[in-house]
Amino acid sequence: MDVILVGLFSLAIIKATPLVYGALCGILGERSGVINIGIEGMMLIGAFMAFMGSALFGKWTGAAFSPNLALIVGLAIGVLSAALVAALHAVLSIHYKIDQVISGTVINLLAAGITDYAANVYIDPSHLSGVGVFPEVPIPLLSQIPILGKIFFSQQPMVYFMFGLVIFLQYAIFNTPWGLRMRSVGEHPSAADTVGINVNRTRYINVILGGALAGLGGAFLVLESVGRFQKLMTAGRGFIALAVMIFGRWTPVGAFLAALLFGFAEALGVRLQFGDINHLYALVVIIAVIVLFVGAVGLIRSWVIRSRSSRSLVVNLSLIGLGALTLIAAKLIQFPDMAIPIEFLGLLPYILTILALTGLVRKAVGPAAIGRPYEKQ
Amino acid sequence: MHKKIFWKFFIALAATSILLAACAPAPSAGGATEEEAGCKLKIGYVSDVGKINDQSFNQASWTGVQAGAEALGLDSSCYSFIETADSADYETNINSFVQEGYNVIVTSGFAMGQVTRKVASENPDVLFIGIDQQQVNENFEPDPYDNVAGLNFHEDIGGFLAGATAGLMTKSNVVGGVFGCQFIPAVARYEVGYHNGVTYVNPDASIIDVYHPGSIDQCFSDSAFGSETAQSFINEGADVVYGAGGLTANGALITACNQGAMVIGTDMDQFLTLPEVKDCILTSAMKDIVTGVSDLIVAASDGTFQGGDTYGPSMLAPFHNLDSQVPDGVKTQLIDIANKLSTGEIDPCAPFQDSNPNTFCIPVK
Repeated sequence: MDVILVGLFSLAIIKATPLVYGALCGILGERSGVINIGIEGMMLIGAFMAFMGSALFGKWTGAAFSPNLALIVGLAIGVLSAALVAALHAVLSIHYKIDQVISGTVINLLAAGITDYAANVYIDPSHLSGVGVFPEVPIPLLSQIPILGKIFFSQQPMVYFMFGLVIFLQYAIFNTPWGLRMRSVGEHPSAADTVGINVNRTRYINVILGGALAGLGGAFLVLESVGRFQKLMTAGRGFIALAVMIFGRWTPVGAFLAALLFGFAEALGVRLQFGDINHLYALVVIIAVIVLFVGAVGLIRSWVIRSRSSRSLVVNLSLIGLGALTLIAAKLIQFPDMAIPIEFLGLLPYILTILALTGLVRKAVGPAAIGRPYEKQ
Repeated sequence: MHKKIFWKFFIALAATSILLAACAPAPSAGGATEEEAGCKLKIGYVSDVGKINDQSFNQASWTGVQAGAEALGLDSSCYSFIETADSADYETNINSFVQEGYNVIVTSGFAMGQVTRKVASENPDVLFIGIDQQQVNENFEPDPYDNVAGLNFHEDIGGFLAGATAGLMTKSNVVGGVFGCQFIPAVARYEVGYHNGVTYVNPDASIIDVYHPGSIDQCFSDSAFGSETAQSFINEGADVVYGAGGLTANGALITACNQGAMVIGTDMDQFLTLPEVKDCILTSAMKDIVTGVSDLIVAASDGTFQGGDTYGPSMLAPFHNLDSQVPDGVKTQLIDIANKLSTGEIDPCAPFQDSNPNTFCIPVK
């Protein structure tokens, strides 16, 4: 069981990482009032340039430096290029005030076309090969913790960086003057302007920083996952990142949890195909855990806000009871050996997301000034 | 003033991006009349979703078209390709070749089978070659058309040989396989064959096979999925990873290789097409698409073209860099298995518990 849990959750974290980077890009943009639908394109450019940077650096310097240096160079180039693409989005949508959705869509098309073309010209004919991926770096002591150590502290560097970034941004957006300014620009730009905040400059900075983060997400796919650029390799992750951002209510920690749920469901779709777990048992246990979790979160929330509503107390307690009973029952029942169709496993992320959305998330409202270019009155 | 310049820029940008996104050189419209005089045959190739140089299935098909055209001495203006970007465009892409007056249209992939047959029935004068397309009706009963040749392969045999290699070479007794879409019969045959091959030589080995659960637009092009899945195989102790599924499988092969496992490729000799894995690739389950397509194109030219199903061979690629690590005993055993497969003594496509029902096994003659 330990092996299965560790495998499942480390896979979930790896699958969640590019989604988190993408979602953070969306959060930075939208919190300052700029919709960014071009995350997919920025990730793709980031992935392509990260590959080109690392592979060419590796090729030109030969074996003079360690491959890790080439990977770091690739990372820097990927991040910078994605930030440049984001700067294009910023100029189009802030300076020229075009519809931000159109501008993002143009970036997606442009990125798909350019990377395709450039891969045809620069990668395929010369059989340019990658320099590998960042190695796993187990953190001393922490990685020795049973189960959790393997899941959280035996990962590759960009996964750790993602953890740090989520915590840092969560603090920065809600507890620092920088974050306050960003949020005010996204909620009520004219009010922010009257107190002396440069609305457009704030938006430029945020969109470009966001692009750099999307570039990290794209670079992750090349430098920590595949080790090679493959055409259209983002495969829709930029769009799922947008959904993750909304599901996480425009907060970094929320987005992290949402991405983790999504990654977990995807990992489950893979893990159940291994054939060593009873599919029905696994599904029942997971639904029970979600029900239990929803009840527990509800209970904690009503305790925190000191709600005296007896109805919500009854609902939450019965959810917890139901979840616990199902868990016990699942242990006792002998489930028939039945394989769930693979198509259904592919739907799991979406089904679990809907389940969690209905249970956990109250109405999700984005920043008020989102999508509207700022004009001084 | 400012705005005007901007709009020009924007329109130019949008136009460039659309051009680049559809960067497949569309069949040259107009102005081709002069060259047409020199074309005794015009050949169009429509790829499955993905890219013409995917180092795998589409690339082999296009190479076959080129080989056939060169065998006929055609000028390069007489044959061209369209890369399908979205499965919704299959019919549009095929029809655009028909409207340009192409005589032979090659389409690749099971998913395009019914569309190809539909367009073929509407255009009886045009010859069609469908790769991985069994000539069957909706109920999977044989239903050949005169102008469509379906080029199919015994993927189960190739998969069986790959599985036997994996089963004989594994030290940890855990082998994995990453596959594309489970509803594509060719992929399903690879998987079922692989499973049977491992079990035949090594009944104690545990086999972890994973299909990409997505739709046709994703399951062959999601290399990060393949990579992550291979990583989880390694964590389970697998030391041989087989990949059959375009770019998805390529991701798996590269990651498995980086993690020190041996890998087995598919469709083409991937030692030659995927440089990242050249030091850990054992072999590839090849199907000779190139010869198959090229032969059919020559047949289309000299009037010996026949509609209905034809079957091409599926075999293993050379061991290349790992040749010295494969014991002679294993090599002779593999030759023995290949002989038994060709005589029908072994059924590579035999169903097992929870085996994929989409295999549609081809009987060995």
